[in-house]
Amino acid sequence: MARSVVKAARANSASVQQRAGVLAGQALAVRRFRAQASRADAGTTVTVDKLDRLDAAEEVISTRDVIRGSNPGWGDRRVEAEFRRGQIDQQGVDWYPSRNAFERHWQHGTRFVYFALVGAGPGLAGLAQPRYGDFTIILDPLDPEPDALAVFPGNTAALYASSGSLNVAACEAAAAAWSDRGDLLTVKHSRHVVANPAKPWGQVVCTARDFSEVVRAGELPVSKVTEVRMVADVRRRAIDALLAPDTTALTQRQAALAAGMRTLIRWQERYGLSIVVT
Amino acid sequence: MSDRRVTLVAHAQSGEAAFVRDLDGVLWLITNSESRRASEAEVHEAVSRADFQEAQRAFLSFQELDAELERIAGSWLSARGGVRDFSDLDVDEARAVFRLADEASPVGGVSRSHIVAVRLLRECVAAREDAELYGVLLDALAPEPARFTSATDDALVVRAVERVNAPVAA
Repeated sequence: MARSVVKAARANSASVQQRAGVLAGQALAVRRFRAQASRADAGTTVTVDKLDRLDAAEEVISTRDVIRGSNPGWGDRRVEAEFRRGQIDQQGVDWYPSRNAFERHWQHGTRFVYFALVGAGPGLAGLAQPRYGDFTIILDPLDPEPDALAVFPGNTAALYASSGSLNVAACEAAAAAWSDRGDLLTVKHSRHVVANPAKPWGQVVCTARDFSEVVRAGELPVSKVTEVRMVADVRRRAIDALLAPDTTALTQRQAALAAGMRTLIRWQERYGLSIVVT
Repeated sequence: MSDRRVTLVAHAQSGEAAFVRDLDGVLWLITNSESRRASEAEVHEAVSRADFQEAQRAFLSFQELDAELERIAGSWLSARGGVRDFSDLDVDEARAVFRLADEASPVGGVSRSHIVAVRLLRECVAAREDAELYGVLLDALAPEPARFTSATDDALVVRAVERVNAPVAA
């Protein structure tokens, strides 16, 4: 019987709050970090083509639903086979058993959409550098009310199911409620914060190699995206391309970037999202 | 001849971001904003979660690889109907596009506001049909009144006036 990730997270609430409280009581830098991290956002970095797909679907959807939407008429088995194909990395390592083990453990698990916890501050998504796309979309995972929502201190498939079978105890013990995300981040990063008290908190919670994962299931219209972040240089290039006197003179990649900027302007005007330069 | 190759490992379907292995086997992420070293884990994450496509194709040079990324971007654009002009913008979007012109650099000495006004008037029915925006765009096309802005210019004017008023030699 699949478990509720919300209930698992709620069961850990007192424990993670208590641990974070103890750590915050030991160092001013950690206390400050805890307060900042409690405002961490859920975000994901996207490329122009992903923006386009979100725009077409008008919804932030899971990878399986992306496949389903791109291939109308495919049955569940074919969709699952395609999903699995995407889980095999370039070394031939098949991550599907790990991802599948994690998702099958939870109610709504196969509908999970994954985000990272990101902070404010310099750089895209709190990073000095982008992750692997030029745009980071930020949303409120509580709006609309999700069917499932929890936060984990890392890549869930790798942390709890790297062998293909789920470490149930570790996985369930690590789940945290959205409202406890600051405490989860405090427990995870307190040693680093003590050693690097001046480092901006956004650069602590999400780096190119490490992040904390938000899992969410449920309807999520694109209109609920509250913010899109990009670095100043990308914004300048995107605007220059969009407003070019002669679009036939653009390179194909400039034209693609212009298309992405157009999508963002549409979202800005229709949904009121903010385009933020970081 | 060297058999060393640069490899396109994986790429965004729109071609603007790619993982590339250089001649020394070092993995890079190349995006619109920069290039940086990347990890195998990031490649996997990008493929499994961000819809990057695996490629594993070798090229003799970065120029060839760059051309391939252009081809990929072109295919993506074609699949979505090509480069769109401003014809399907609604009036709010047209206003937003025009506001952006202030941020864009001039082209060939022509202000971007002028360029965008021309494009919107030519391409966007909604902009032409909205009286207020139409007026704003026409204003943007009006040439600025000629003016002299420096002491040098003023001196030139004085000399020019003197020459015009000077008596014609017999």
